[in-house]
Amino acid sequence: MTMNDKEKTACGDWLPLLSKYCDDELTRGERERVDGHLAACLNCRNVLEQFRGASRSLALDVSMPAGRRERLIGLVMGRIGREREVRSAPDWSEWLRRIFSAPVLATAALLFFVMWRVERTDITGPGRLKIDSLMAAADERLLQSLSGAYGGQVAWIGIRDGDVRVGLPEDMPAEGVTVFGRDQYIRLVVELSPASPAASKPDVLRLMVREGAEASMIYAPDDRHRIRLACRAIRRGSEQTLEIRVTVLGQSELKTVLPLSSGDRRKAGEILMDGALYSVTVMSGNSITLAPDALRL
Amino acid sequence: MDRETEWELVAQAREGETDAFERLVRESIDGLYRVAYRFMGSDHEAEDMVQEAYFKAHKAIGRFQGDSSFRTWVTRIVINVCKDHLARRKSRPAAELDEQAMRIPDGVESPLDGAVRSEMRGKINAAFQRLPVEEKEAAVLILVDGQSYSQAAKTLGESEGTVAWRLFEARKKMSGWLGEYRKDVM
Repeated sequence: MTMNDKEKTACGDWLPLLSKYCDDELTRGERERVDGHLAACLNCRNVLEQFRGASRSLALDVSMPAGRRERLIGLVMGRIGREREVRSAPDWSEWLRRIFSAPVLATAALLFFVMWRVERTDITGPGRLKIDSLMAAADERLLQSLSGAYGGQVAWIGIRDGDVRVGLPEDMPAEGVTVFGRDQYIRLVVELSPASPAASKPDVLRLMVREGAEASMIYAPDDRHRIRLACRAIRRGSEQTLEIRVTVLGQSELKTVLPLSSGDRRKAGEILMDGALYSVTVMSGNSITLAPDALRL
Repeated sequence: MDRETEWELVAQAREGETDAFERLVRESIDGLYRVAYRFMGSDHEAEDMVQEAYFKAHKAIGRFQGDSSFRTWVTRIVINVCKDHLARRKSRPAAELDEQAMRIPDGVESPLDGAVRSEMRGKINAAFQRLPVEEKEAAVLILVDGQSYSQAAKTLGESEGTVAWRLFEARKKMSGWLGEYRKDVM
């Protein structure tokens, strides 16, 4: 709007009424007054036209693009359906006991995979998960499901209680996990790698920690052992460090601080369990690929 | 959809009938998308916000009192979702904003018209993002969702006078910014 100072003073009081005039929100008496003023005031007629133009602009091209409606409805209902599945998911402690029932500690190494956040990623390729949309997770509870496609079929990703799950279609052989977030989240993944050829493939535990906060979990590789993992991510300027504490309850503890940068694989130290040494390795990266046979629940 | 039918569907949705909730979604998604799109300025984010809003609505359907229509209720949710997302969002690179403006023009437009339209859309989005969030709310509800001042006031929990003033301020600013753009173009 361009008016000189005198015009602004004269017409200023009319402007809010002109706004309501655009929306037919005036009383009858107000409308008659405004009509009378508009008949005599070119500036206000120009302002009214600008207000109408701004109104039209805001309503311009806001409709859903053609062909997207059914897809969006499918995504909405799919997500609601997945959330209902998550709510009926198995108890996690029982899941852990199933995973670690095999005797795997004879010469096992503990690998920590520390996954740095990614803004957005497409992990494509045969047997890979492609993510179409990402949403930020505010905390460790199940807040958001993400949608993607695995081999052309719809998958979902949920975050709950510090753990991340990806749900794949039922006929897929396994479920995998991944982590995405715009906020400062680090996912700590523990992989137990048995040396025995009879042992099952590596299983993965995930611990999600928010930058500046600490997260911990306890897992029981068998009935006799309890291992606590704790991690705190600290940022100082552009540097990120990870404080890691691994405790074999009743036996030994490893505490270390590591710089965190994408793509690193670092040996963090060793812990003693039943007289045997286990090496602790931290791996960092900013993406994770999923293969159906890598992860089992 | 009349209120009685809507209430019946809400009751069924509360019992876990997803078909009923889907009908509610189908009745309201177009309007909800328009609100989300104007708020966020991109199709991609509008889709995300719509999904999130319905997800929250589904979880909270037991608390829906029926003091407004389902559509008004879920519109309130999507506005809150958009506001939360905008508050968390870091500054976006300019390239991403330009990308959001680039909807594919339909076949009846000439390429030049399509390009001008896309550019204008980007400018409108950028101008709208400059508004304070309270003015965005008023503008979106009244100018995009077609609510009356009274309805918008109820949706926002504000007085009609407050809503009217915020819309006036939004119009005044948008008129000025878009006027500057038109001068550049011409």
